[in-house]
Amino acid sequence: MGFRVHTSITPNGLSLRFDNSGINSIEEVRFPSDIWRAFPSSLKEQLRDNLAYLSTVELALMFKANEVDYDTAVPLFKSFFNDLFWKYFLYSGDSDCGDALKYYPDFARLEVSFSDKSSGFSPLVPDVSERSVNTLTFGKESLLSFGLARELGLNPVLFTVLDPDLNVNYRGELVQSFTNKHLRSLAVQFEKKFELKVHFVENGLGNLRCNVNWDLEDTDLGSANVITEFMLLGLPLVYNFGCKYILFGNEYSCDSSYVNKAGYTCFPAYDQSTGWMKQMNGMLSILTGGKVSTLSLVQPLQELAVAKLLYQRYPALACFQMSCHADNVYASESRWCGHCSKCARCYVFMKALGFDPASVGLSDMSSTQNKEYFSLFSSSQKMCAYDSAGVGREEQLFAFLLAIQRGASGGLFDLFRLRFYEEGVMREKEFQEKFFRIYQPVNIPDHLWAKLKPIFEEELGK
Amino acid sequence: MTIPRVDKKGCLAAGSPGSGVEAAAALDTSSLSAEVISLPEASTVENDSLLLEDPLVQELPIDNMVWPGISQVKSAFGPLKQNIVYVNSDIVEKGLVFTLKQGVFNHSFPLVMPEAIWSSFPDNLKKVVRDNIAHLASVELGVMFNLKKIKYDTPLPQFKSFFVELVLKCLAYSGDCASGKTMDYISRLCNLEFSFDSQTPPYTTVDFAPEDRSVNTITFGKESLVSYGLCKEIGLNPLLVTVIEPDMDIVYRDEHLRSFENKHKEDLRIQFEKEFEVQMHKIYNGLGDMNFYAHWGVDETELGWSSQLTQYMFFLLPFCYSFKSKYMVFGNENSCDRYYYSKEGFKCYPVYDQSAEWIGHMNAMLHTMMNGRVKATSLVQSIQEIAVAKVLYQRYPELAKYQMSCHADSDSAEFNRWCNTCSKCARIYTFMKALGFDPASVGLKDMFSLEFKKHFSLFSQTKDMRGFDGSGLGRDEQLFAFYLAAQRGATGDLIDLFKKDFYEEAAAREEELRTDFFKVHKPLNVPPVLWKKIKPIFEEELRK
Repeated sequence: MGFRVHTSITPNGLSLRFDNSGINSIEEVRFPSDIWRAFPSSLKEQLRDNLAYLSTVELALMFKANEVDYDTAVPLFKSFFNDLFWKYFLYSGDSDCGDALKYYPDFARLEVSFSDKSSGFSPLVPDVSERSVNTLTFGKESLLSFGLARELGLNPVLFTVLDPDLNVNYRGELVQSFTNKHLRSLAVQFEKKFELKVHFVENGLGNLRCNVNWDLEDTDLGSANVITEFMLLGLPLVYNFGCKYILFGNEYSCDSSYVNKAGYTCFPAYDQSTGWMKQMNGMLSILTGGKVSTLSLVQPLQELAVAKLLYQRYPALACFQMSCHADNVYASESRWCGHCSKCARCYVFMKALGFDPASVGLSDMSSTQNKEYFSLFSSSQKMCAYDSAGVGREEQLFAFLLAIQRGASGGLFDLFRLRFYEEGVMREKEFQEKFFRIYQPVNIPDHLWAKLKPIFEEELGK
Repeated sequence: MTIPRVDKKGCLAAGSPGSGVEAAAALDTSSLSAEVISLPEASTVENDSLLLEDPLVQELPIDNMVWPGISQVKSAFGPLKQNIVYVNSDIVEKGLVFTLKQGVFNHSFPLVMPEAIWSSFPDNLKKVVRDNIAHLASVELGVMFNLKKIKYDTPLPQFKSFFVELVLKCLAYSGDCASGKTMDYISRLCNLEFSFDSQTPPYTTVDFAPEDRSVNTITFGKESLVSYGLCKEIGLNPLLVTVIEPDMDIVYRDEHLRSFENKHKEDLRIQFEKEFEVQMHKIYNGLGDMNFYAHWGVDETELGWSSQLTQYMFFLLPFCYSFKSKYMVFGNENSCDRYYYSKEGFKCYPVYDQSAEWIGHMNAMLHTMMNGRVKATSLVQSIQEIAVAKVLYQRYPELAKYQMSCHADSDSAEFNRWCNTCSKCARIYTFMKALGFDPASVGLKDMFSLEFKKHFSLFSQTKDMRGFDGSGLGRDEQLFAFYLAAQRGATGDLIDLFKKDFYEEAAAREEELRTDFFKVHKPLNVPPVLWKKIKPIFEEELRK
């Protein structure tokens, strides 16, 4: 089955059209027009060629396509992307059906062709200063990264990637998400409060990663490319503002993996791992002549420690937190749906750290009727990847223990007392050491680490 | 038994130095004559002494470094355990040394370059070459031995992802050759972990004003000879580099496996240099010892060879840099792009690393490292193998007489550069008879008697044949060659057999075969400025 991808550069960004046996769709990427206009045209071509490939390979597998024909030159980073998919698909296969190798035969057999255009490219060295471009999702990592970057003097430029919200009837069920509505509202308040600009990149390519848009089986496929896509989408801002760094909020647990039943090591968030960040740096190095790199300031911290720092050091930022994917009807009017494993995880973190969930609009989730959302008590495919894979189980156990110690009670806290308290107490020291520890920084330059480490030590010592 | 130091198809003789990478360029000897290694005449010395006496090796500051001309691996290392392997790499005065360690196993594989060329190569680029070759050369071992992890003392190589893609493409064919093991190999690659030193990899690019000249590797195969001839004719002043890989000399499962390529090529080199007043630069590639299954004492496998041509690209960088050469010329003809589908449904390229697609990937790597100043190309990419032979025999007969396409990996090649007992010799013999070139003039004996039937892929395809012959992809080309030979009046048992069984088919398909095999195909990766000079040459010769 053939699959064709056509691309073009538009006044505000890029356009990508794919045709697949009668199904076709046009997706647009829109940047702030002045930023896009100033972006060098050779880089626009690079962005087009690379994004076209990166954003469609998984879709081709979802459609079980045998071949994909692109109207672009061979993308400069095709091998990098294949390496990313290669690593990621073990998790996708295991998550989808317990067979880590499920997608490898199709991936290995997929035939891709490109136009004869030359992909010759010379690095375009930007004039950079000690400044960062930060992705702002309003999740705790991105908020903390912003706080830290500001405190470190990186004068961060903020950009938010808006993937299209869902509003589709999928096999008899209305599937909706409300992320953008809440993000836009938060951004307005954020800009006002901190007197700065949040730049939006409208990313229609986000439609391609979601199976429900195409009436395809539920699958993890589609999520391997997100962070790398964001890195590429950040490039026009890098050149426009002369930023030396692209900052992501990938915490320590992004390196977590598990070994599945057949013995394969699966990474639920490989594209956020330090290993892949090194590869992203390889790409950036090629594009920018070694001038720009990507890093995560929160990489040496576990998720719970990230929350601790955010709530303690930057409460003014913390009040903007939105970690829920807002992908069900409960999120239509609230930025926390209160009905997903992500909300559950953040809820217990807040309770553990003495931060009031109600202050950010997160309702009480301690009732036993919410048990299904907590990975400590149950596991299901409906949970977010990190929760369903079970890799966050101990962190949640520790968070419950801390919450109890802070006096939380009722519902699930009582259930916790009954089933896990003893284990929590027995392992408290181990957990303290594990989840509030400062790990070895992997991608952070020494001069930034020298400023960052004392901040971490100060807050985690509290 | 097939020895895998094969070109699998023809133009790249694995085990045969410099194969595939075809270079050319008249030599500027003014500054480098001292660096060209001079060896005693091959015909007057034994293989062992030929190589052990070389001063380059004596001076290498690595205690256990051995001369790679004839492999010093006399008995198998034994298979690696499914555990961690450590790869340590060193930059030394005359090249690089890679050491593999696992438990008590500790073996160094040297890469020896001409000193003046290597020493003038920027340090950062040396590191890039080191880091990338360390990974590239060893990644397939991970699949071969189902290793858990390979740990490098070098930083993340800039082109790791490229190598994973290359290996993945090649696994389809290797797996098929191992009776449907592609998924097994894929699974091993999935589970293989790599760990690198944490230091930031050097960002490196160079800026120099390249000149219109080429660096060609010379293997004495027909593609390398034609490439040299073409480069000279179109004014690329080709610089010749030969990559010498160790000849094998090992007892493997009670059989003494030997090859004699270097001995014969040394003879050819001396004569060639004298006749054309050029010098060939030598690279001694001890990494070749790493690729050969017999050295590990394991079952025969195709695994191990997918990285060779890409390694050569890295080897040639110092030459391009030193001589400001704009082109790196490889001898990958049109049939390198041929593939078939395995029973498992995978697209299998017997020589993917020589395909036009992979040359495109090599160009992306080169572009990055050399700031777009150097481009890899194959001037013969647009013609089929028999057309390459036709151009060589007709236009460059003075070069054709140096042809050595056999891998010389059986005892019958000890004193003759053609073993006369392999499918490669059989294929070339038919080409020569088809094109009116006398095989005896290059020492290739009559192979049209019935006893040689098993070496011709037209009559049978066996696992013992070279990859390209064994896969059946060269069947039609051989059919056409037999047809042309018969028309020229060739005689012999096999011509009789051909007439009986295949003549009718060939006659019926003559036009199709002629079009296919003597056609000038669309050039991929050949810069337009070169193509406009080469195309008329091909057209002129192929219409004769």
